[in-house]
Amino acid sequence: MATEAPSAHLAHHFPDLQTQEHAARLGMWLFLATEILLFTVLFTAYAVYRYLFPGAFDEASKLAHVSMGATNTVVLITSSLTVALGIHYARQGDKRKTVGLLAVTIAFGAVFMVLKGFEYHHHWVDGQLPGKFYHFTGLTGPGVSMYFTIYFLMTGLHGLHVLIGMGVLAWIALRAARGEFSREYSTPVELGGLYWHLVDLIWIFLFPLLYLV
Amino acid sequence: MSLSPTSDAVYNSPNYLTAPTGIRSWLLTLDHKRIGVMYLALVVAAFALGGFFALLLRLELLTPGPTVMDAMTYNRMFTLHGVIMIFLFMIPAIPGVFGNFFLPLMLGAQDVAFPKINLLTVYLYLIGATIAVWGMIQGGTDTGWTFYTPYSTTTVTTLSPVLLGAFILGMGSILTGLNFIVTIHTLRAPGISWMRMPLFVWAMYATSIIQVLATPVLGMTLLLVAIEKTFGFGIFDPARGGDPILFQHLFWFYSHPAVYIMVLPAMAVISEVVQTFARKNMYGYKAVAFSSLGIAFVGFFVWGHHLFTSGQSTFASGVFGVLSMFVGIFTAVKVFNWTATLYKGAIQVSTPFVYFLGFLYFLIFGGLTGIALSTVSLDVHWQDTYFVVAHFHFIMVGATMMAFLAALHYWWPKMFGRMYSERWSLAASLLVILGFNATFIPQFLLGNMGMPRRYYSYPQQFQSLNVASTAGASVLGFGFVLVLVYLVASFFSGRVAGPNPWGSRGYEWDTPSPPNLLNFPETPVITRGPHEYQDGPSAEVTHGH
Amino acid sequence: MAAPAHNEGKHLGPAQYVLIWVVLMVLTGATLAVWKTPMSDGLRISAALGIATVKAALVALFFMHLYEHGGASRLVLVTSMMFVALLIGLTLADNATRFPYANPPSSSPQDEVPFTNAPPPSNVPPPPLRARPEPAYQGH
Repeated sequence: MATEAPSAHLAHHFPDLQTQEHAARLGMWLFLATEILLFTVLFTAYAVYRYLFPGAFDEASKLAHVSMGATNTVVLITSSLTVALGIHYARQGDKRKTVGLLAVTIAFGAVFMVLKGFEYHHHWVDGQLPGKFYHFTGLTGPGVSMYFTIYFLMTGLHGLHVLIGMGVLAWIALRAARGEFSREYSTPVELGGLYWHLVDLIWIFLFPLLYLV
Repeated sequence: MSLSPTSDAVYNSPNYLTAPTGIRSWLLTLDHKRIGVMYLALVVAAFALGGFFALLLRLELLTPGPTVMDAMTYNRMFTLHGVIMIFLFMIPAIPGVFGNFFLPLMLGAQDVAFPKINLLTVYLYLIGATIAVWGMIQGGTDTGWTFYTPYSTTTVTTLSPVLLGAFILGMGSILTGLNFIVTIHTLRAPGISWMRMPLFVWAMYATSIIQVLATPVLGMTLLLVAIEKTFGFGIFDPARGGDPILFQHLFWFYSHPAVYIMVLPAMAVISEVVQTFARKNMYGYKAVAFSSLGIAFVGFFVWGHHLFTSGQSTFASGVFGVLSMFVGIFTAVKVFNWTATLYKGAIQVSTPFVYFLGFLYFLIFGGLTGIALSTVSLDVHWQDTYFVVAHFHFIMVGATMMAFLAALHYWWPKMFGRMYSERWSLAASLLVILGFNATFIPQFLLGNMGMPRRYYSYPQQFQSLNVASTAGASVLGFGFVLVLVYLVASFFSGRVAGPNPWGSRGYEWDTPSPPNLLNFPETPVITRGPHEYQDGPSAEVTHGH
Repeated sequence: MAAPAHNEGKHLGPAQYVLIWVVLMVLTGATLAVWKTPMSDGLRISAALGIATVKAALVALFFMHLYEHGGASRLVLVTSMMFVALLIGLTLADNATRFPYANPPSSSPQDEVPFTNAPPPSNVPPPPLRARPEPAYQGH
């Protein structure tokens, strides 16, 4: 039976902090599951149209900028490392390292978006655009514009999630800088990290499927 | 958990309804019970609106030609009816009202895991509903609630607000499910192991899993339609290599499990009602508990039975057809166990029990026609006819709505501390059940004879059955209005209900009626199973900590 | 109490995280190697997806702490992946087994099947058109 005063972070309907933390984590994982299913719609479209137009997808994927995509992969995976380290130090109550690592993670996210912007710009200039806007003369035929439709939808939705993740991490970094987290309570950092890792997870599948096969 | 109060003393002491006061305390409440009551007001209003459009449809179908509207308006009417009934009533009703109110009480918890998110879902509902309904009325959406491509992506009528509204409503549904799952995993009071949870909770758990996993697929799919309509990307456009049937796959991947989001909470309620009104604990508790998970799981494998005549491969149709029949097995398990529970029970034929009987009949009838429809060769004849319309109304209105009414009548005294007039409630239940039969049995016959659904006009020989159906709908509608009237009247003149007017042994009845704002003064410790009627009323609940 | 057991003492340290990162970099290199190596399409996709799955598992287990705690969280992830496979798999199975011309025009399943919409030449004249009966009501 706990005799010390309940933590200020403990909500009245939870028996103890550990249960509350577990609940928060489970809730976040369920939310991540919904994001996974959200992207699955686009993965399904990718699978179906790749099956229907293998030649077109093969040729069109050669127009994707593999070097930028590969760099972005390294960037995201490294950002996953930095946010994982950030959570580690948050749990130890090390405010400076936490804020620093979160800032680095956000910076990596920004790098990702910048590279993505370059890619999009190149595609725009070449006329490799979705659906009816496709006017690249170097590759035509049934299914080619569909590749770019899928490409822009998938990377676009993913990029949106990168931006959201950056916002979430920025807010958490702000709270960390204000000293809101400690050894006892660092759950929001962990939850924000989970979201960021999901963004990385999706890219891990997106990159080979869109760029490499 | 046990408080043996006198009814007057309890009713006059502050409960969740009376304290705190003021509109802000309601609009910003974090109390799951108040949230449940707000949902009740919202879903009843939605049901009335959807029912209004249904009556307009039936009015139009009184004569083969134009009766009160033109063809375009008719299409808009059934779109409004479908979207409102499904997204604004059937999906949120039982989880939003009774799930929210009773899940924590049944688990010995003070609230759901995330009360703020719970409040958020109410506003998501309100905002999503407003945008969707306004969009449909303003923009004249006429695609039907199924938004099939390529019509939905090429029509000139406004679609984006409806899709946005549906997306927002979906977010609310997801968050409700998420909240319930975490609550069930983490907030069970000591002594409530998984195998001691009320069966209501098991079915709500299964429902929540579907809500979390299936709804995002719908959200993204509707977003794709909006994108295609607005930007012309051509994901579903054959001219760009797109496949319109892909939309149907993605749409029904959600929308079939969605019907289990509607029916599992209904079954949840029925499990509670059966045990209380037969004064017997459930025969085959584990079977009923796991069959809920079975329905949720297998329900994901069958969506292609909506695509039998759309151009889907015969191989896929065969697979989906066979898998669709498996879902019936889990429902049958429940039906057998509910019936077996009645055997040698001390049955009390109150209004909730009457609704249970109606539910059972409609579930079996509607379910069997569902099995028949899952036979591909038969569905080729019945697809897009009134046979299908009758089938799903039997389940959605016949079964699910009966369960909603059963829940309302069963838990009314607990939620509001008042009893309604049993005489009026029995009369209304008969009107509802008979009116329902009169409305939808003719539609089975019409569909079998070939009358297509969503058709504004029909051949002359179908008129008499259509007239019968409309007459039935009027009786049904009247029955619903009657329910509303005497329930509201109970606020003013109903006798004060004690904490347990039905003598139920469900955990939630061990609280005052209405419950206090704080569910339990201290965390209860449970030492008996739910609905254990063989035990004596000895002190089976102790105060913990 | 409803809280599950946590093996709280087994949290990873920075060194282990960096190690996982190194493995992920190696696997990324492997993905690019698969891209460069000539092989059949099916093998390439399988290899790429397989490597991606291993990378994802590493991120999920170690960076996302599933290895350390979360019985329920693990169940959530595994269940989601099952339904991902279900949606993609069965939808693909439909397109793969359809009558080929029920697929979008010029798509690959149609390559094998000759299609012509010209009727065979015939000396039999087509039947005369019959007048259709008037509908019972006026149009709307």
